[in-house]
Amino acid sequence: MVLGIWRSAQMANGFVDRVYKSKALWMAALMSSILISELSSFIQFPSTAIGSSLVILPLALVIIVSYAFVDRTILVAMRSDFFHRDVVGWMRVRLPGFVLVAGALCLIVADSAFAPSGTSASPFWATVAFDIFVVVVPLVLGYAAIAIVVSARRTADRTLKRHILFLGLSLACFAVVLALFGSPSTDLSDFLEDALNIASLYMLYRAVMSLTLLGRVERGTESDLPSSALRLS
Amino acid sequence: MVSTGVPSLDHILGDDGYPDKSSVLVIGPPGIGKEVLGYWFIRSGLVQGDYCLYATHRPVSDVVRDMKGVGISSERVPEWISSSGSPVKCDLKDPTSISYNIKEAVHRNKDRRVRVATDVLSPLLVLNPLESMYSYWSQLLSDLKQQYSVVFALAEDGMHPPNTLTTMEQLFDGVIEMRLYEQGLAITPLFRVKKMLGLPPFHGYFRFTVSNTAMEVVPHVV
Repeated sequence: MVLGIWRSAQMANGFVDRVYKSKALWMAALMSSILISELSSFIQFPSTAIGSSLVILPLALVIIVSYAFVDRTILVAMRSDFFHRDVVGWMRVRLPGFVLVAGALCLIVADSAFAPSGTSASPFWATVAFDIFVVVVPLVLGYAAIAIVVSARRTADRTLKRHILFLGLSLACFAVVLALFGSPSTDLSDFLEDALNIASLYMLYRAVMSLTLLGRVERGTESDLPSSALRLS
Repeated sequence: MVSTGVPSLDHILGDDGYPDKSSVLVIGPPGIGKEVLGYWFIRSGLVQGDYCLYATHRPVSDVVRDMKGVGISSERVPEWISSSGSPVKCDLKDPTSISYNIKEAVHRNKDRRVRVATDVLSPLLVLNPLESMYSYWSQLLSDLKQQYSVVFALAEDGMHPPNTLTTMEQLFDGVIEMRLYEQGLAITPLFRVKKMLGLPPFHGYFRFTVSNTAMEVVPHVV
């Protein structure tokens, strides 16, 4: 993940086009948020309302950054489509989708703060908030995953196509993992959750590596500057 | 000779820039900055009073915004053939009309030096068979060379099968490749001059930087 962040930042530095530069930066931001989320599991937060909400904040950050990044990626894919076609109505649903995701995240943060897990009985509103989260967020991210896969099919750029496809698959796995949060915990669901999490991270790394064509500098090829005298006429 | 609009690149090309009556192909992945070379080429032409034509599959407003983003804003503007925002439309489904409009515009200005920049090569290659596009570009470049013109075309790397761009490279007098290269953990934007009419073969790579005021090209030490 650290290597992925480093590579994304370097690519951002190399791109000239602002859209691609921003895309590489978003990729670095997304992976950084995942890294923060993973590292935060080692931190012991105090069992207060604020402490409990801090537990869920890294995941909320990952979801928000994922959504924003997917939005940027679909816009890039639409731009690279010669006919600049809208992808499954994305231009109409992107803002309502963001509002839904942000709303669901507010609910789950409130749920986590005021009805932390481990309490004997969760209030009704907390159960509803949790149910809304595990339905709305996977649905919106699932739709975004469909949009991104469709946009991958439409772009003529084979490098971008591969990059977007990996990103779409990674997002789809992530959406299923979020949906599994709402299911009763069994050995099978735990195994599926872990497997899909690993698959999601692996495909995200592959997406970084396929962001652009990378050449390899051949050794022993020092740059030479032909003088004007060398010009053949 | 025709200045590239980037003094350090002119120096690399023997202090002169692109050869007269030539065609130059710039290949690179999306986002790397191929268009910027085209923008400086056109801007240089406008400053020198050349007739400049920009044929693009994008709207004029997008191109103008990009030009301003790299520090090019001029009261003088090129003539446009574009998908929208210009009197003459660029219809990718009708390559013949694109070719006709370019030749017609160049012919109208046959008494002046002409610069043509275009990004329609890749879309046309995607939408049409390679054989027909080879003939199409061969004919178009040959016709434009009859005039006092320099053609600057962009091609998207990674968008075509490997043999497609190799085939198209044969038609152009100069080929420049721009790409991100990896050296260990570092990733650097570099370009190579694969060939240029009237110059001996180049070796090595050149590092380029694009700011919001200028473009710089310097030799890259491996």
